[in-house]
Amino acid sequence: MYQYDEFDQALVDQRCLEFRDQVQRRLTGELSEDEFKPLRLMNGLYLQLHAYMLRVAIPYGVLSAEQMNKLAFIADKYDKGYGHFTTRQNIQFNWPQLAETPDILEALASVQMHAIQTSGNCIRNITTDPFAGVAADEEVDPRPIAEWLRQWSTLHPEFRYLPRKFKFAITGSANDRAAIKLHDIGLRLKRNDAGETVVDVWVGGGQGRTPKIAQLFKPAVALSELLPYLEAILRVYNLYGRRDNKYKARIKILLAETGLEKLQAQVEEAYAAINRQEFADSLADLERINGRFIQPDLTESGAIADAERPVWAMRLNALANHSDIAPQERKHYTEWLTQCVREHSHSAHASVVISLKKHGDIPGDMTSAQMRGVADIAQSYGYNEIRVTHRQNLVLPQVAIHDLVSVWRALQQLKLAVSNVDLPSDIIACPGLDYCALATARSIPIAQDIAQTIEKVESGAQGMTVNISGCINACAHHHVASIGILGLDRGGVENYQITLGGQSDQAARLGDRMGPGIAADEVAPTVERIVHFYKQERLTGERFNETYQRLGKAPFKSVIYGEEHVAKTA
Amino acid sequence: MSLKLLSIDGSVRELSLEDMAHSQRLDATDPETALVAMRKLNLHQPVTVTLGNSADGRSFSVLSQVRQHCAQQKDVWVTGNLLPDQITLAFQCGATAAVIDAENWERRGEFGWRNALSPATQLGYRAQVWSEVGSIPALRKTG
Repeated sequence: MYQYDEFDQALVDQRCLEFRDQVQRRLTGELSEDEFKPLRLMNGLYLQLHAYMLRVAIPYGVLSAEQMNKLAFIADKYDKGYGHFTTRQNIQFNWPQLAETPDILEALASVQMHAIQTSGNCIRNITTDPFAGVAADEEVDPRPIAEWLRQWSTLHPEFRYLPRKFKFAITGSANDRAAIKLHDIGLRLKRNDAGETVVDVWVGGGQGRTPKIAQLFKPAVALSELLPYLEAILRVYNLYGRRDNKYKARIKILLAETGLEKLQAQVEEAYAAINRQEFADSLADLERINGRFIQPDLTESGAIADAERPVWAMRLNALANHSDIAPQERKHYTEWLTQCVREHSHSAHASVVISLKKHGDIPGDMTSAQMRGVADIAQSYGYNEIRVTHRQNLVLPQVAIHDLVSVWRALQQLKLAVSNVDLPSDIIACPGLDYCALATARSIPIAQDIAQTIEKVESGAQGMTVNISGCINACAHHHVASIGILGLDRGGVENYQITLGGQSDQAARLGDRMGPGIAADEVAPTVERIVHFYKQERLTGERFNETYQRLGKAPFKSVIYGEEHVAKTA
Repeated sequence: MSLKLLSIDGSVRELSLEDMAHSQRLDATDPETALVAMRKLNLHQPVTVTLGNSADGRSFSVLSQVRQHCAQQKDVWVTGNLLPDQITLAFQCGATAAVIDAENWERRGEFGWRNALSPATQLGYRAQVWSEVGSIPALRKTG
């Protein structure tokens, strides 16, 4: 992972001092709340329903064991002993005191972390594939590019007060695990015929109350041109994005109102006017950044030549028969291997996904004890590295195949050997009315209820996603779930709309709204019926969305509302 | 009305309305008009750009382009209802001085304004295209 140099460290240290001064000025009344708000937001500090909330950046979702231990320390000392991992691959602390937030930032800076630009109308944390650098299907490792963009966008003086927040995602694989088409700018790294890295730039994706799939804005941009081209897009957006209505301020609306061709022309004009002298060193910077990525030395012991490598399913089968696994453990271990272990580009290694979705627990929450435990596992078996996924889980990106049994046992001790990754109970949920000042309905209790209800029936429903948002802002990405659930307030009563058929990968698609919302206590049984129906109707090997597309809306509406209701409203 | 001119080198001086009269004015709160007017500027005379409120980031895109357009002009000033935190950004986008009215100057205090110019608060990754005319060092590290 990337190691700070002296400049990086000086920058975050200075930022701590600056924020300490700003907090002091707020506490003495020199700054009004209106004046303080954009300054605190630039440092990830929100005012939520009950207290301040601090969102800590985890750039492109990469954490070291030492950093995870520091997060555990912060959870214990300044919060209530836990943290919440988010869909932006960050972590949130829900109960910090304002006066203590400068101390938290200093603790973070001591391990090369910060909270810069995790909120506010600026370029937010850049996200990427949680399997970046280790995925067997990867063409280009997106992490150095992500760090390059992080440095370009951090404290960029021109883009600190954009019309709205601005989100980037990057992938270097044809199988998009970073949801690039649901971001303001999505970048797809690939190789051209000459073997050089080029970038397809997608613009205008997003969720919220006006969900949009991004459009291909410019294909195959050379790396030498990438920063000036992105600067041109941001400049046009900064100047012409709407500021009169925050719900129409994202670039997706500018794109929709301006039109693709016209906006492309505006960007090309801005791009032509950019002073290239500013970017003369940009490729040298990328080279410098590449040099500061410390790659683990994966031992060759047990490695299999690619030509001889059996298919992954066969390897998993062989692994399940490990001699250290007692017969009574085999079922659970096999389930864990199947659901939580992924193929690695190096044949003697695998990636392990740690589900933070134990049935009945709060999705994405982790106690300080679990954080320390995962840090220990990463130190002992995972080359010191942990990733955060946009589905609010963790990944140990590289674990030697022969250590998998030990990792499984250690995760069991932490109650984290939960075999539901990519199953319907692997739910994304926003904080909802339990914490969020914007929420109109609860998300967390509904997610807990669903997970417990479907635990017994979800086996085999691989890749079927359930996402729950507690308001129209769609923080839990309900538009792009197989089953999307949106909590609304209807006359003081919580009401949940269901969408089906969404997905966030390379074939990104928005879900279809099924009809009127349903009551809170009907949500879990409804999800259970949908899972049942899918398992009953699917053809061999068919994923949920394929079954849904083949059968159409009508039978699913009957499952949700009952045939009688559907007939009455037809 | 008493005005202070805080320069990028940290110097402060009183500014008269007559001084201001010599400067060409651009209003960054109306970017389209400002960018058209920018092309008609006399490149040998100082420019003063009026910034919008602290959350209106259009000002910084206008200012960046004014600086690029007026690359050889030493004096690009900013004015408006400024915050110390905001003038740091303005300087990073190409301004060489800030025009601050007396009430605002008193409210933040001289320390508050000068603190905004300390080398530490200028740290950032972006290079300064105008460094050959400004006195602040380039911000981006090299090598």
